[in-house]
Amino acid sequence: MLLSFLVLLLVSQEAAADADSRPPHRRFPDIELTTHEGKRVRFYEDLIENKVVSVNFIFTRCMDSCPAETAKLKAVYDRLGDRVGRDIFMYSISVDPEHDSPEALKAFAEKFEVGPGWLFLRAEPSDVDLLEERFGLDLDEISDNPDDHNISLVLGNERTGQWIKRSPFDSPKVLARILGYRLFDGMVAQRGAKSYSEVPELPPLSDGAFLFETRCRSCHSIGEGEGLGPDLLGVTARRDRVWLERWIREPDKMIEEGDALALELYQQYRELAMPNLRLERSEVAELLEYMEEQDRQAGLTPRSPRQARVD
Amino acid sequence: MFRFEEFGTRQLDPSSGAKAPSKNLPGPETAHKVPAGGKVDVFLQGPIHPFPVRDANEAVPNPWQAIIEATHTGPLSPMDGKFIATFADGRPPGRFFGHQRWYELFPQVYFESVVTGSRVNGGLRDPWQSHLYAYGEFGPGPDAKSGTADDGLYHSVYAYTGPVDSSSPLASNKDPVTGMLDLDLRGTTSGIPIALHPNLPVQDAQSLWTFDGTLPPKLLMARIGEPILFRNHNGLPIKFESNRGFGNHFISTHEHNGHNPAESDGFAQAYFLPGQFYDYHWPMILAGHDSINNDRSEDRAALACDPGERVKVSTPGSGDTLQERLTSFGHATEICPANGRVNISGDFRETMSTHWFHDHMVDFTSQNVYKGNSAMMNYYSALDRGNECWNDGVNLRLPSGCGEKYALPKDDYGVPQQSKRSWGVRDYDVQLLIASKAWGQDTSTYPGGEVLTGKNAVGADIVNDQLWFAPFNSDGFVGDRMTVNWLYNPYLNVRARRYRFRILNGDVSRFMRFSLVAQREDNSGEFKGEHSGISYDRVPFHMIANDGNVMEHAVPHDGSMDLDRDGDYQDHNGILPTQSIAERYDIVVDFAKFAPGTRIYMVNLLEHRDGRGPERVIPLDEILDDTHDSCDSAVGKFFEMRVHAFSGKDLSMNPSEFVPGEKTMIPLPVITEEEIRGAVNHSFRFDAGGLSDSRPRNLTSDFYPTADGNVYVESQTTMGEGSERVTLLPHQPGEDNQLNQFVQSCIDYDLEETDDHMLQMGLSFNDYMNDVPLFSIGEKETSILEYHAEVAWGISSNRNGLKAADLHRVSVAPVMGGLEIWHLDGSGANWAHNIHIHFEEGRILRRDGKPPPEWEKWARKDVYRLGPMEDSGSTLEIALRFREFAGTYMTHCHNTTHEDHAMLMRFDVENPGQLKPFLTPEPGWNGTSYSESHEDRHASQRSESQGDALRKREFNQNDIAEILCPVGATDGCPGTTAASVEEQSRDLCDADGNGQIDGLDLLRMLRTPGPTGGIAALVNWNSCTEKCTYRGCSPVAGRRRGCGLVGLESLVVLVPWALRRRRKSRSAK
Repeated sequence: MLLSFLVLLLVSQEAAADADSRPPHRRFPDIELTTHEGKRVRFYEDLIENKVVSVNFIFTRCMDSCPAETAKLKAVYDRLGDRVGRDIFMYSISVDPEHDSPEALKAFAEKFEVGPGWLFLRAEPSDVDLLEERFGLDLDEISDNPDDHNISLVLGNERTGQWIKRSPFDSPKVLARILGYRLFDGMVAQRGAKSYSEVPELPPLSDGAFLFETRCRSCHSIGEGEGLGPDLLGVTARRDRVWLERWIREPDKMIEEGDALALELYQQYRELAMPNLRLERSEVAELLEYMEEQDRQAGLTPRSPRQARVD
Repeated sequence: MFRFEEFGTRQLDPSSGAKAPSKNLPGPETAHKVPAGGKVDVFLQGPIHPFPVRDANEAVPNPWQAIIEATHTGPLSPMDGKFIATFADGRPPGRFFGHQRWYELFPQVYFESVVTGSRVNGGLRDPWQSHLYAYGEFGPGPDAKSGTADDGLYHSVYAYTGPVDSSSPLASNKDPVTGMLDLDLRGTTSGIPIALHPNLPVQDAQSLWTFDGTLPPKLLMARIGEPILFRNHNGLPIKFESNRGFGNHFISTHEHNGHNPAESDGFAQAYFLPGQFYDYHWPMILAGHDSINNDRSEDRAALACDPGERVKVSTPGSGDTLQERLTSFGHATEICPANGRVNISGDFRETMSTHWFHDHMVDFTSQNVYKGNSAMMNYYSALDRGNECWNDGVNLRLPSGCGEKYALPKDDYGVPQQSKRSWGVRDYDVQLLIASKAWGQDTSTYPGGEVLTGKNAVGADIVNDQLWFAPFNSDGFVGDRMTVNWLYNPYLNVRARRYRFRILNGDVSRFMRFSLVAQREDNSGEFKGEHSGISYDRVPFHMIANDGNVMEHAVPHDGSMDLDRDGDYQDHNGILPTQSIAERYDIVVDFAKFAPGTRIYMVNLLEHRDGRGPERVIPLDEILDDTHDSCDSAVGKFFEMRVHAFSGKDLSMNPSEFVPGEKTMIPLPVITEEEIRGAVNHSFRFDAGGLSDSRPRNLTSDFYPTADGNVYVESQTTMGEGSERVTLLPHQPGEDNQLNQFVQSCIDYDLEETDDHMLQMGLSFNDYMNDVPLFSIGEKETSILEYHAEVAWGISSNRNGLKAADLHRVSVAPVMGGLEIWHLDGSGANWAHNIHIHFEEGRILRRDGKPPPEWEKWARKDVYRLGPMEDSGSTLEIALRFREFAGTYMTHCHNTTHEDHAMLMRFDVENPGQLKPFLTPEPGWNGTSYSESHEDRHASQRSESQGDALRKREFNQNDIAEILCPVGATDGCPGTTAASVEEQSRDLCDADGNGQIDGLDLLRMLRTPGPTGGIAALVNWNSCTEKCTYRGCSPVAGRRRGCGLVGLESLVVLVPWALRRRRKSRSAK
């Protein structure tokens, strides 16, 4: 019984006509608009069919967000270079067709030095409403306020049906990446991309850093405050290099010998003697090198051995 | 209702595996199609090939390359001469996305699946079910004959009795005389169609994209201590537009909260393309693997194994340097002893249980998850092994059954000798994946889609009942029909005994709140019924796990405790807290007191009016007597359980012995006051972008430190150069659909209408849950507000301003090994966000400055709710540890529509001393390259100051001790109970076992040979000092402090060690 059902289903799938030959359905109405250059265009057939586009809504009397929004989009436009007008198209549609004549839109476009591939458009108010609704930009909270509108940006590839909604105040780089790269569904290679062979490996911890992390970290930090012992940020600038070298190597001896600074530190830090970690001279040098590098990064100048001698 | 179907894992053996015959993912007929199901099954049956390797495999080309070039991209040119077009392996190339610790945590088992268009289940995985449809409730019963009355409850995989209409996928099975269908699939999934109900039409291959392309939904049964490799193949259409209007054919798979290395975490920008596969490496270690219990002495940290089974576990490395430790790991191959445990390294308190994995494609997570790209995953362990008979002193014996064949002799542990497994029994341990869906009136055609004709049960075109989604909605997409395990209005047979339910909110935007009630055939229940003669009682239960983690205590939802200290003992009696998307609650319910035949209902109380967040809780009594005024059709009863007699013995634990104040299940990891005071604090604000003129534009643009010129995108476009040109356009429901407010459509959609339809089918209301044939949902889908607009969403980290997602920006970068305090803020009146932090579970320290309720106080969480609900809030403070793995992870709102509309941020776990952020992969048809990343202020160890210093100062002014040990329904502090003090004394750090961790322990460790003793001890000591309980622990500023060596101690400790070391180094020379 089950088998027969399975077979049936397979047969019916094979028998099904190839859907490719069926007529398209359109999500967006083919309304008529006028460009800022006075040309009449149809929204679907002329503007978005088979294209990668950005669509947003503006009005030229809007003194606040629209100029800012358009300026942001200009940065995206610049980033995309001559691809706008070739395989990417940008549309800014007025939500105030009463005031925004093609001439007004042209003046607005010129302010932003907009070139080919980016059109400013007007249409009948009801058509604009319909478009806003279809793009999911119809904010009901503000629909009654003529001075308010949704400034979100819709980026899409009408051929594939891939649509992404973003803020025009997003980073131009991110928006350009979506428009110029991601909406092409993996078809466009990114310039400046690195192949694996060019990617630098993360430098492994230096020997000094490793020694510090494993030997000194329990008691000391560099720039993160005191632990059991002092914060060592700036220690190479603060202390004589020769003294420091010996202090790391044999602190127990220095305390025993009554070195003044050693005793002071001993007192200051709860009489918790710095342990002699029996480090090799080379290890001490690595540690010092690491601490000096940390200090240099913090803008401090370590005292050189020569300085120490002069002192 | 059907139960989840196991993927089934297989051994990954390098010696024989490398010789496996070559196999290629079968290709589609056209660029719009998916591969034929039968071929996919054959492909999946064969052993894995090519054999998995550490770095992405660059030897095998994409098996679909020819058809991709011919139909879609045109010739794929090498990017720079180093790449041969595209590879079968979709993982970003090189060491950068190479598996971390691959040889150390080499996968012992693997499984494969193909994400592809929906199709009839061919029974491929039947032999890989651990129960084999032969054991326990999945078996054929004592007479060993399938199809007889004594069959186990779940031997029947898919059953339906009732009227069937001609369009049903099962119509050919109906009785020709009565026209009725009496379907009962036993012992196989073969023949299960993709239909949300037997009387709903089969879904087109473009409507649902699931693992294998089949239902039931899939379950991975994994074991802690046994690393897994998941080879996930992308078997989706080559053309984006062959998606029935939603869903992206590029995918990335995220194992929701696994302790997994970043390259296997499903980073949204590490997606793979049709024809390719991605090897996800899930090491299954316990967090703390490197620093805690390294000598494997803790019995509760153990792999659950079958006695006699040969198992291989990883042992952490030792040595003097970090590099040595990372390369000197070992493996122990052991024969599983009679107690069924092989101990492993790590913190048993980090044991995990109920997970799921799902798609995480950048900007398209909601569509892909909604479309079926999700599965569940159970972690089994010695503590939670899924065999209630196993009485070894460690196993918590949560309800599962014993999976026995009848009349078999039992061993010392009470387990039948020939039972398949000592773990992973699911007889009484049930996954519930709950999600709201919509099926719509989309009559448009899609390239490559099947033409669906015919009428459904109420005479509507069946094409109307395909799964439907609204891609332009950025509020959140809420379906209007509740489904359980992908079925609408299902019922489940249950025995009169204890059950464990693993409840997952698998929705994309809908928050839920569940209650359990039992129906009575009289008027004397607590709640009135829809009509006289029916009433309801609450069904009490215990919540045992929150977000997949078994809690320290079982939290009673039976009215015995005031769980949230609001003075009301009844508000959580039989009622769960709010459960947002991706949250998991495991509950234990005892059906023993219900007479066979009793019907138990799961009820959803939480109403949505749009996807921004839940609107309100509808009172249970109003739902049950049908007097409520909610228009949300997802509110109410949606799932029925029918009680059957139980003749066996319930050996599972009694959760009431584990309530707060009583025994502990899995204690929380210990956090000390000092750790918190020294922790890096990061703050995050989750907010709406407010994108209209009248609202502040509070999205902040980024500053990019790297200037890479104006022309950022290369102009080489290969699009459309293929031989096949597409002229058809994808489409959503017709232009004539009105934009309706939810409430408006609710009025349009009349419940009376429902009854009419049901009456037409000859069914009365009492059959509500009883396999009701489905009517078309009519105009209802407009309620989902396809075109409704909202503002964009964003996250501000460390007060850097609200920003939309940018996967190249590192918002914060914890250093591996550290404890951090994260502050999650968000206060909106009409929206809710549920924040998911990848990789590590956190402990909620406070909600709105107050102690968390019992179900959070004892829990480790990975999803945190913000919002106006009474059990959510506007500020959360959580403590997290980042350990063992580095790389790129994410934090985001798990209302996936919000996530896709850019409420997502990237965080990197960095190596100490790392000099630059990790790079970002850029996958494409030509292969994957990398681009530079940048970081936000205060994000990383390279920042002037990492984190939100002001917030840290404020937080540290609190009484941290009190925060760590908050007041609650009972006394007792999470993670620091008397029991855990005892446990601490068994800690590796306490080498001399005196209950204190101090300098003397270091002495002992140094003198001990072996993996964690000797000179390696000094390295390990760093992690021990976090737990210092004796002198040397001083509450000082700075991130690290510890147990110092005092006075003589240092001499006693260090001199012999150093002498030995010198001797060693001399002899080496």
